[in-house]
Amino acid sequence: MMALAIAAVVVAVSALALVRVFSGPTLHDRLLAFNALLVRSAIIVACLAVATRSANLIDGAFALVLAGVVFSVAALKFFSARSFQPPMASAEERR
Amino acid sequence: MDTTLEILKLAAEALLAAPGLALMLAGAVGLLRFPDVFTRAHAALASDALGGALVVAGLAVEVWGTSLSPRLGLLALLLLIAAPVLTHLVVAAAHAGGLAPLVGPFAAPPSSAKREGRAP
Repeated sequence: MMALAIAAVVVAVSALALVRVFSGPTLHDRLLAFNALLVRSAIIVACLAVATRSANLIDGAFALVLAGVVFSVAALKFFSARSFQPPMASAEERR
Repeated sequence: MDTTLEILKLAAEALLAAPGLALMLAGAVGLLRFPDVFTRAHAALASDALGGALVVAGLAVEVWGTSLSPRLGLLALLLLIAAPVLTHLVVAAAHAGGLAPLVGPFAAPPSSAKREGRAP
């Protein structure tokens, strides 16, 4: 029962992070807020797993956190290089 | 005996989860109110790593003794490891991408402060 109350508070807090996702002036602000949103949804899933006492649901929380790591690294790589493809030529040849 | 154990578990859970929720709320307010991406990273890190880990540890106390609690402990550990690494990556990428802080001793000079707020 307490887990559901915690989940309700976390839902309210993640609504605040959603504002920053849509209003953040830079791409890095949006990424930071979106990553916070993913972590909070993982905590909500963990709360639901505790409320229903189901051990399978907790794997969803792990998947959300790890997917957030992979997504953030890929998005940062895209922000810096504007491409997912590695450069075809070395730095000396491109100069 | 059983009821005292229940009450103790409830108290321990509240003692762990209440500071975690307070940290998460403070981090969310900081994410909204702070001026630039570097200060917002501080708020996001505190709310994700410490607040999230405390909340998950409180949940682990609630289901103490079942197969859920070690998994919740591992989830708290994962949050404590992943959030600082990601925050460092985001801040390093923002700095390398040309963003400058708006406040503090490393703030950009006023002439170039106009370019802040846009992606490079």
